[in-house]
Amino acid sequence: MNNCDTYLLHLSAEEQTRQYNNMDFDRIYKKYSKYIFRYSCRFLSGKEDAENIVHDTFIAFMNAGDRFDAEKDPLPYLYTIARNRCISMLRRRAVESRQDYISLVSAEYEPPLNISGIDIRNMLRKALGHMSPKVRETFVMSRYQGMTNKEIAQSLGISERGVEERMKKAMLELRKHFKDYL
Amino acid sequence: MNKTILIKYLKGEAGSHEVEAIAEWLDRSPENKKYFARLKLLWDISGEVAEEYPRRRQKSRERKKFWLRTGYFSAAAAVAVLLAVNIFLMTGDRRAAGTGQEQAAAAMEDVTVYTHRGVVSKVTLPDSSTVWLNADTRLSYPPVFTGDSRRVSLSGEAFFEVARDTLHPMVVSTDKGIDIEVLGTSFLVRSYCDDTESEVTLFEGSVAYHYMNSGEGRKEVIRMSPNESVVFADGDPAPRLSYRDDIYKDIAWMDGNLVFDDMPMPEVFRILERWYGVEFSVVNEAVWGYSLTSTFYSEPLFSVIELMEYCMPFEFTLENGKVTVR
Repeated sequence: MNNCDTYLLHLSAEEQTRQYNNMDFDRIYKKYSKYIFRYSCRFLSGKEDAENIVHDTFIAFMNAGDRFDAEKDPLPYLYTIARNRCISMLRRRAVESRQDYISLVSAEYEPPLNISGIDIRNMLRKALGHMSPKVRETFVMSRYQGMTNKEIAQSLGISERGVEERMKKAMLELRKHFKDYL
Repeated sequence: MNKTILIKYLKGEAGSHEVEAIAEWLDRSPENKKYFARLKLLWDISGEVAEEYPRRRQKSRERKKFWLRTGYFSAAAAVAVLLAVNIFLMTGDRRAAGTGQEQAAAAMEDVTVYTHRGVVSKVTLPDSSTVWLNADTRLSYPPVFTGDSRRVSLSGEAFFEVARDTLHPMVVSTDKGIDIEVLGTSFLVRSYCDDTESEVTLFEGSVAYHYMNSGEGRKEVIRMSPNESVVFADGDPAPRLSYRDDIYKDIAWMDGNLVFDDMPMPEVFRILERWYGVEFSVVNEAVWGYSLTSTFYSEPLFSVIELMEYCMPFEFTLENGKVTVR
């Protein structure tokens, strides 16, 4: 053991926690702002609103920064701040706008998600694989290819009602696969 | 409240009457609110694989926002994220610790997984990395990862989602002498013995592609970034690096889909042979000059053949696992 090690052993637990410096905030912003932006877009319809949330979130994070260990992953905390900010903004607007009221409900009542990013995609592929080919085809056209129910019905030569039924089946399959994580 | 209207809302296609009806329905009970929030979460989550599906239409619609495609949920590669107050972290090291276990592990043989033609399979490695094997592929790995790196070997085509471990990089060795060094990332390796080239495509993260430059007579390395692909043709001294923005069609097979984008018929037949486990016998050689552009969503062989007959002036007959082209 050299002198360095001996010195470290004598540091208290508090002192060993590294605090954030300006470079850290810069790095964290560069790395995570896009995730906070996309998260905010789930509840707010305007790009500017989402940008404001991102801005507020990082300001709040920097102000609270000295309470946190710089070695830990800040992302969960950033999401928590962003969620609260979205809810506050939606609460003000929900009075006037039904659309925002619905968004508010979806933000407030959302179940916690116990699954990592990699596993989500695995599970999604599994869920899509378990859908019958017709259901999957319809879901893909609707969800990923931007087609309306009418367009899908015409393209596949089935009724719009048929498309609706398939979409319900698709959502059920998703629910089945994710029910243990919600 | 019917689910169809809720789904319409999630797509952004609900009219103002429907929006009002949904709001009123939500007002009625917390159960309705929870139900809706959960449905919306599932819908949003499903966007994570949006890029794996070729877009058939290039419509620029106000409602179709770019953010509906991936990103949010994949933020922390190996860390679970909660959207509510509790924070839940997943860590875990399944690597053998200590010499006793290491010695025992070294004595164990590698595990080898094969997929035959017509089979796609998914394997979980000892470090919880996931590998999807396309048809006619062989993957070997030790039952426990020990030592400085996680070594696996591959012949065929596989998509890797490697668990992050910066201290123990994964090294994928192909039968064509390429070593791909990985830290924590997702990438596709295609290296079939009977192909005349091999390709490595990086989706996320970073890898170091090690190869032998036969012109210079020394080992070289290429550092790859996401959306880059390295193609090494047999007989060339060195591989070629290029940037592609259509990489997701290369992994359509993981969902049971086949995507052909102006692909020459020789390659189409080779892929169909692997995928369906059939043999193509070409009588009319003119077919070699054609190419195919089409996407097949989990379709049986005869659908594929029907389409080819429709687009090209040839007759395809399927009998006893053999397709004859006249």
